[in-house]
Amino acid sequence: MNALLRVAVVGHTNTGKTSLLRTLARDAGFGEVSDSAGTTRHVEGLRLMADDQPVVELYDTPGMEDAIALLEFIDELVPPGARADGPDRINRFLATDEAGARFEQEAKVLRQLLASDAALYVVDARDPVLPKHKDELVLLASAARPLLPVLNFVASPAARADDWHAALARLGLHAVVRFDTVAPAVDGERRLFETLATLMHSHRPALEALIADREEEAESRRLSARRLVAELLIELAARRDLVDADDDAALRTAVHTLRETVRAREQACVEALLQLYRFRPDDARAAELPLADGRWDDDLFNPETLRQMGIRLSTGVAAGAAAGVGIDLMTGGITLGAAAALGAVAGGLWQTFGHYGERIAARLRGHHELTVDDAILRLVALRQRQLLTALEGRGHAAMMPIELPQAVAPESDPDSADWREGRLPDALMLARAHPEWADEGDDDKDDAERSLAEYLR
Amino acid sequence: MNPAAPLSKLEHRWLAELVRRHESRHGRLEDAVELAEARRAPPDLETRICRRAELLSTREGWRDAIVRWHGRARLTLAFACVLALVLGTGTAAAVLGDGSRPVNVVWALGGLLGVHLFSLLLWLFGTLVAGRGRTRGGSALGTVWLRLVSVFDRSPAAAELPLALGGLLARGRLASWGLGAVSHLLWFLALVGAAAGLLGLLAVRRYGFVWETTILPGDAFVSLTTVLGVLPGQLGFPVPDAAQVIASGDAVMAGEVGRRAWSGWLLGCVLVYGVLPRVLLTLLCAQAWRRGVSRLALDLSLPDYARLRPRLLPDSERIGVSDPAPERVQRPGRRGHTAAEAGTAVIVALELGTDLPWPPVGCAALAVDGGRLDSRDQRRAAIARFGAAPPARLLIAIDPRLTPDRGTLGLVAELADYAGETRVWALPVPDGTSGRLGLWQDGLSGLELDEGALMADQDQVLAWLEAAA
Repeated sequence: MNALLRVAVVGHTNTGKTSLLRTLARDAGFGEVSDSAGTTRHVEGLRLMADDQPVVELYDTPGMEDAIALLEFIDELVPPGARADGPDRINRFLATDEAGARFEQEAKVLRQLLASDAALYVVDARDPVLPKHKDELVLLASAARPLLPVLNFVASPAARADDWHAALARLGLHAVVRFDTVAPAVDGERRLFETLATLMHSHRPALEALIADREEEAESRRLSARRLVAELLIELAARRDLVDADDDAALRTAVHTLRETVRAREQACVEALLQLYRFRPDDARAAELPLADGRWDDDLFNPETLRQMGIRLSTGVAAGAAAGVGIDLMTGGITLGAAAALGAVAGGLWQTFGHYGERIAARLRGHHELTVDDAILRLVALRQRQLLTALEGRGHAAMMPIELPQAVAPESDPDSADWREGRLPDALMLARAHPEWADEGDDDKDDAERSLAEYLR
Repeated sequence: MNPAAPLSKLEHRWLAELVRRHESRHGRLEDAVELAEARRAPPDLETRICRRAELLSTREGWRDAIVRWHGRARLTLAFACVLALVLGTGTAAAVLGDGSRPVNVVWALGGLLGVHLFSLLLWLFGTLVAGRGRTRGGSALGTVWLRLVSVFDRSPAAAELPLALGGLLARGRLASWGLGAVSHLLWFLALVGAAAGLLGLLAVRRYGFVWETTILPGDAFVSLTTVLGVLPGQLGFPVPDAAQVIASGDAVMAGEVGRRAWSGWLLGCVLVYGVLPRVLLTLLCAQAWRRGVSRLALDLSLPDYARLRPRLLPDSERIGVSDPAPERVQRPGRRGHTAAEAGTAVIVALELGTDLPWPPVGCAALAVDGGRLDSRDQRRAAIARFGAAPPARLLIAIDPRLTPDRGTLGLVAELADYAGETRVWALPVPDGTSGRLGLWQDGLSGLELDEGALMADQDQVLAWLEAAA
């Protein structure tokens, strides 16, 4: 394999060069991003890795601000007719005093470009194509490095991507990538690296490894994200607070506590998702949930509870049968069969009652169980789905936080009919019968989460 | 067991699961050192997670806990094996009695195989019907063993161990195979003990054999004996013939041939219906367990693992600044101002978007159109023109959506040097926004223009031009 591919990220000032690096590296803290000229004044590198192997080194450079004057300066320094090729002209310029003064920024760019194998020329597609951009491209082209224009902000309605395509084609730049650093398309990264690979043929295997690694990572991230949401929903559905039905004050406190718990739990999920997608903790804000009063029914006789009772019974029977052996040996083998059978039944009953006795007793004492309402579960599910979509399409250069609305309109999430009206997924019904899942997990909860995550797909 | 001994694949994943459960409940452990060390492992997420978990658990003492747990599990299992053998032999002794009473063959067979067959059926039910390995039905002995192992160590670290193991093994029914193997092994040993006890007692004591019934016909016992005896008979065990069976129903079978036949039948039944299925199932479960363990992998889609990914297998790293920012940045500025009181009013366009009309409506009568100043040639020409005939008033129209760069501001400064008075006009944008007016304000503020030189309001601009005319 060849040495590492080194790519300079160049372009006019304030077109989103640092943003591009942030989004490609999923590093929202890289460099400094602001809507003004000359935010970056230094050259800073970033290494993209696949399987812990560095694949590409990207160099963030200052923006070009005065290409017209610089080209004029170089033309005076080395008249266009002189026998000097592009890199020679640039080296002659870099040797002058002006390269450290008036054209300091441009000198940094050109120096880094000469030290790189290729360059990404970042364009703010909302800008009109101006002669200064053409002069910039002439300057950059004279460094004799492959140049791949990257159209940033193409998702904006004001983008003039077609103008740019036409203008770049006239300059001989036909391979152009559209990549919005704030709202990158799902396959944007793939297309960028694939196009880069067509320009840098010797680095194609490494770039393909990078693409594969990124896609695998994205898929695993999507899985985990759905899993987080599934866990949230399961825990909310499983929550079951005991309240004394006759005591109004206790009831109010319990409802309040439940609401607070639901809010805190949703917020925790949002934070975990942000961390998973490597955004900053305050990159999403959830509006307060309009919580209803919770549910007042009891699930003691919901089919799953009964089915579960059957399962308890069968494991209980097994334990009882083992106990039967002990009984039998003590009685000298005479009552063997009877003791085993009795032991089995007793064991089964004991386990079953042990598990439900508490709930049944609470019912008899006139207590109620407070659970999270179905409507709330639906709303939380819809909101989290929307957050997942927003996170998938968000670049690490985005500055505006994601707002999670109080209610989710059907048109903003067209595939949500199941969540709006349909029956709640089985996993959630299951969770209703497992109050212990609200705080701790077991194998069955893992299974339920897995199936719900699949449903969220 | 040597605590520094390398861990098995299962133990590695067990530790990883243990650490994951701990961290998901109590927040991330401080792991700077361990992380750096884990990143020296081969570049595979699972390997690195396991390495990190091993390092962390060595520090937290969980690694020792697992090693101790394993030692205890082995010890308990060995003890249980011995106990099973002894109990099996004891059962045989209890079933046969001391020889003072004749042995009721059906009762004896039920005593030897009854519980075993019952639990075998439960296991089959649990495995085939309940499916998914969610119930450990029938592997009761294995479950009891697992609980016993935990009984002796009640520290919090040890309490988490079986839970983490359960979570790890739940997928692929590994747990039920493992527990099944232990249960079947114990039953196998108990039945071997019973068979051995049977053989021993039958060898040194004299037993009479009998069967009894009040309501069943004698033929039922004949067919029962024959049917049960088919398989042992194939293996060479003697089986009582119909006459012997009938005879045992009437009186205690005391004849030598009959006694041998009954003894062989009893022993054969225990071996064929007890020992044989259990040994086969033990092997089956052990094989399934071994295969499962060799395929065991962490569920990397679990959010806790996914969050470790960028730290253990970073997809990017910062290299740092290779060319630092200059200490002082040169800003465009004025070079000198040649005031021109007399002259015309000129309006020029500086890098306007194609959607902005030029010249703007209403200005043609008030000022000379100096044209667009976008390219080098246009700029040179304009400066040459202004050098020859400086305008008294210069209006530079700009597109407020663009970012003012050094080149643009430099040109504004240069043009302003030639003009008597200079204003910059941010043209109205079709979508009605103000664009980056703030950036223009900031940029122009360094150019020593007059107060309020940046104007956005068309009426104000026209008024200024009219004042000149």
